[in-house]
Amino acid sequence: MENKKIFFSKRASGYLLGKKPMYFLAVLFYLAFAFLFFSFFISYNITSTNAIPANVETTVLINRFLNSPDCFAYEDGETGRAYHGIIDIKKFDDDKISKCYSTNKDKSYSFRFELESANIDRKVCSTPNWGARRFNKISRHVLIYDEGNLYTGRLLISIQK
Amino acid sequence: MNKRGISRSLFLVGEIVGAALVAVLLISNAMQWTSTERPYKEYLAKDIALSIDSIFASPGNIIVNYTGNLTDYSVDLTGNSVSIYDDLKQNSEITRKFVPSENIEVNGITLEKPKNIFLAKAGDEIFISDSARTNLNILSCDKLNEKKEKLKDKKILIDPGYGEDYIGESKKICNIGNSLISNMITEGFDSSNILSTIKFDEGETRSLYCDHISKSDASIDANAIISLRAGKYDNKKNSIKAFIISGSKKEKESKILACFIINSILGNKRLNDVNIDGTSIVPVDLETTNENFPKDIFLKNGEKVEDFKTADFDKIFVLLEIGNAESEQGKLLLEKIPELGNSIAKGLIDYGK
Repeated sequence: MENKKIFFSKRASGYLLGKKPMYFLAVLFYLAFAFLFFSFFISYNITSTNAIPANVETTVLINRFLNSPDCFAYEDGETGRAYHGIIDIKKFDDDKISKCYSTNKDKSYSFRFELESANIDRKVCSTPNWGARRFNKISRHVLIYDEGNLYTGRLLISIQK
Repeated sequence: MNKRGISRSLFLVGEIVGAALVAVLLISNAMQWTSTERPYKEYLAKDIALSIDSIFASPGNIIVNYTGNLTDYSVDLTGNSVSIYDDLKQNSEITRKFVPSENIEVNGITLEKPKNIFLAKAGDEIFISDSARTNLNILSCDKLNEKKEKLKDKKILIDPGYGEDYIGESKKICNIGNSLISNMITEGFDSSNILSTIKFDEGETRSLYCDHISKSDASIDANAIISLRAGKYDNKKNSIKAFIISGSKKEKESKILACFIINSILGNKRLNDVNIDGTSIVPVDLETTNENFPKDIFLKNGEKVEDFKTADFDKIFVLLEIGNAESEQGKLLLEKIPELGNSIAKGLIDYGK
């Protein structure tokens, strides 16, 4: 009898469609949102703990160009010794860079190099995946080897992600 | 009984149950994320890929002992990516890419739950392994712009060398020469094109007479010359050196042949028990060499060293100094006669490829 009054009485029906159900709907919506936000926040925090800082990755990749004789580094033909930080001007071209950094236009970092020196003409080369996008620029002081002569110079490195 | 009280109690209970349920769901979700292995696998894949990028930057040979714990996972290395997965490969595989190079080959391999991981670059190859048995003495061989001639069709002069100072080692070097000749014939070299500075045994087909070594009177005019010697140094270091003539017409070809022979010796697994401290290719000026250098191979009848024109010398020449006879490891190396003969022959074959 009491239940009948709750569900079928005019007062009861007015009570069921009153503030409480609306309150529960709002709370349900809020809790669902909070739950999803909380899940996303936790997963984002955990995955961010193993993110590699961007400058670490670019430094490692730039070292390849400057240290490896397969890229720009000068290599003595007789002894086979490579001199990192010394750029062989003959190796500073797009063909060489595309062989030592084979990106095939995928989503790796892309680089553009500008070599400046008082003793040689300005030279520019870039990786195959260089495109019209935003880029950062850094500068390195280098030595340039050209036909038995060493010159001081500056290497401007533009980096795109 | 108060009806409003009953319904209010009911809703209150419902609220508490709902709140508890949500709290349990949130906490269990958080616990699930923290206990999952996905972040660690992701870290491993990224770290190994970055390590391989670093190895590309190394100018020489390098071996790195990777300290990450991979005992519960498998590692799959391809030409441009690293994948980490556990037993359920399809659902759990995480892949990270690195940037390859056309000049350096990455050897693909799958390691299952390795206890140790070593990343290495030797010569023109990068690979990972569960052991540190990579030979860092491997040389990077130059490439010729023009097509290399195959040595199988050429006359090859084998100079095992002899001399009073080398009596102890002379027979071993002679036997190495014999092993080399035997392997060359097996690989298809024409035996009539194989010459030597010491006499062949009359009874055997193209076998050096090592029991009584004497100089040959036969022609030594050949397209390629392989001289064999045992090193003799007080420093106890056991190295393999190849001497070539600096400034000759075939200096580049000689250097490449020397490189292939040395790498072949280093790559012979049956020589793994011998410790080789280093390898080198040394360009020499004929005038600066001592009496143990086979100058008579270069000089025509009556010609003096100072009259020799290096720039006109058009033969491939490699003097291979095998180990150090004064060191224990060097003596051990000189006992490996079949292995050395096989390796040097393989180097000759690889040159022509």
